[in-house]
Amino acid sequence: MEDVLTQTKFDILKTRLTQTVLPLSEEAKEKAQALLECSDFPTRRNEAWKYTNVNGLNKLLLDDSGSKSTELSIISKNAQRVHVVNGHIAKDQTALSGVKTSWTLLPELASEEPFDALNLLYCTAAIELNFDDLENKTIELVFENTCNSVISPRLFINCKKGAKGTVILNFQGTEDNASFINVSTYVEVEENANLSIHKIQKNGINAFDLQREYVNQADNSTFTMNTFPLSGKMTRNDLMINVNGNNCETFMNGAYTLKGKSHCDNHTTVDHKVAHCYSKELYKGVIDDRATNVFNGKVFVRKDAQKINAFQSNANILLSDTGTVNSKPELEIYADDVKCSHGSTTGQLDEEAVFYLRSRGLSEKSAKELLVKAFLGEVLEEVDHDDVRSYVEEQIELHFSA
Amino acid sequence: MIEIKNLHANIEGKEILKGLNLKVNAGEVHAIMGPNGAGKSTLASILAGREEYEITEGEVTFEGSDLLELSTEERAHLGLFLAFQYPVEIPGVSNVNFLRTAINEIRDAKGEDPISAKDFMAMVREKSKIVELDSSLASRSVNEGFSGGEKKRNEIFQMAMLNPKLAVLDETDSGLDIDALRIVAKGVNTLKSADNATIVITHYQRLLDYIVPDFVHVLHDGRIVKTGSKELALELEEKGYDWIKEETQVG
Repeated sequence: MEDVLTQTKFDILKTRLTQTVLPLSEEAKEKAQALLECSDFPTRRNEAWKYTNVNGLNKLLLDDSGSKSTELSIISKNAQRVHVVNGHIAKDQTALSGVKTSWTLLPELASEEPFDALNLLYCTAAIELNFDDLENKTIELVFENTCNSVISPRLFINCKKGAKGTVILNFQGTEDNASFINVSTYVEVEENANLSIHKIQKNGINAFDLQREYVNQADNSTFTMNTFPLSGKMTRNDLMINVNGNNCETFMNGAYTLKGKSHCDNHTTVDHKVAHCYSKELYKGVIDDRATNVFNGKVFVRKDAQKINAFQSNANILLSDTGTVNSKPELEIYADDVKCSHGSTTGQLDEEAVFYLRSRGLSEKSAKELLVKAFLGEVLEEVDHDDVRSYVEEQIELHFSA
Repeated sequence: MIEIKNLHANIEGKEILKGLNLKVNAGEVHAIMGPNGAGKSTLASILAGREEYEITEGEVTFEGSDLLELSTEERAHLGLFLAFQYPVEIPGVSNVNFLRTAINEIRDAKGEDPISAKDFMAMVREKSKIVELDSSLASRSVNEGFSGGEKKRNEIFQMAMLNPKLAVLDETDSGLDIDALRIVAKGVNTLKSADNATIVITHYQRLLDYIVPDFVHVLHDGRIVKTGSKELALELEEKGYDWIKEETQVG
């Protein structure tokens, strides 16, 4: 009886997970276990999780049963690719330069986030990507989720001094997939390096997808994170960028299309610790049916971080009367010579524009589709990778024809 | 072409049209004039299918169909075109992209094949000349950052591209300087044929110097109270609308 009373939701979840077979030091294991033991699922009282409830995680079967097969897309034909099938690195792949998938010891837990601890203890795949030249090669990690499984990859992306690289994180789930996807990504962008990450979350409609990116930027570096949550029951992204170096540029873009009862939550934090940096953030999305969206963008400008230009914008269009948006831009500025702005809008499609287009012969559906594409187009213009951009454009089109 | 019989319409419980009758045949240009608040723009809005108006009585037949039963886009498919008094700015939607979609949906409704990219672009070049619209404007976002004159010229450009049977020009002259007015009017005149018709709604006689109407109607208090030739417009310009109002009250 006592056991039941003290059992946390994490304890319940853990009973259905399999401990990682990857090499962990006893110390790392203990640290992660200790963190999990004193944690429970976040509740509304936790400001960062106020509008996102993950209790549904414990309703997932996670029994590795197959889900209805549908076609899964590869984004870039020219990229070097690593396939991760139902959480595990596919066996029959040729080794790629700059990609490490075998480990003697995984790095220790570097955060205080229980889901990160969970990711480490139950890790299904650990992948390190290294970029060390100016070639700007593209590495695509394709996560093919066809079974209702635990997908727990731990990713380490290093863009070395002066190097340039592009990563596509392509999460593809079959249509009715109900996996628990729990991803931790650690990113180091070294001096004068330029790294772009494009993340596609095309999950099954019953999947839970919780992801965290921990990014460090050194002097004169450029980092771009483009996030496209396209489907899934619950998607939560935590993007945390520490701008530790001077003269850095940071770009964060997101476009999301929600329908049904899906829930999407994008939390971003940019921490400007030093001077002379630029950051720009643009997240836009359309919300239909009973879907709910959360945006929380935080920008810190620390005391000595003078001459910072930080811009942030979030815009939402509600296509139904029953959709919900909770948008919260936050600026915390401790320096006095900075230029920062933030804005958040939520509204309906411009009815006058819909009428104008219909009066020229467009059906109501194509008029709305055209306006939504134009609305999200502003984000897609920021995407400099053609394959990624055209894939997302295609998905937006499909979203409306379905 | 179009026949409006005893049309009554309300907005928010207020009666705006109170038994309007109008018949327009192919090849004709009709001008509808009248003082502010007479119901001119209401008429244009109802013809185009704006949903905020409630039709309480009357009927409108367009090309043999009951117009009031059709959706806005179905009216466009049948060949009705409204040049807006205030054209809408639509950021991010290119003029040509949206026109191509419009043309293809109209063609689809008629059971025709979509227009080829080559034919379409040739048409854009040809038609943009009619209103002296720079072809760079054609590829920009719809009306975004256009001047008042450019917006109205863009309306006539769209009209040229869609080649409607009946065009309703709602106060197309408002906000235009004399040069823009001339260009817009020239566009409308170029597009005029024996198979199509135009209804020009205007407050001032000025536009009718350039687009010469076959009939001039005076709309007052929700009804057409006087119909005449183009000379009626000149008389209105000279005397104002008060004498019509008095005449109507006496009548």
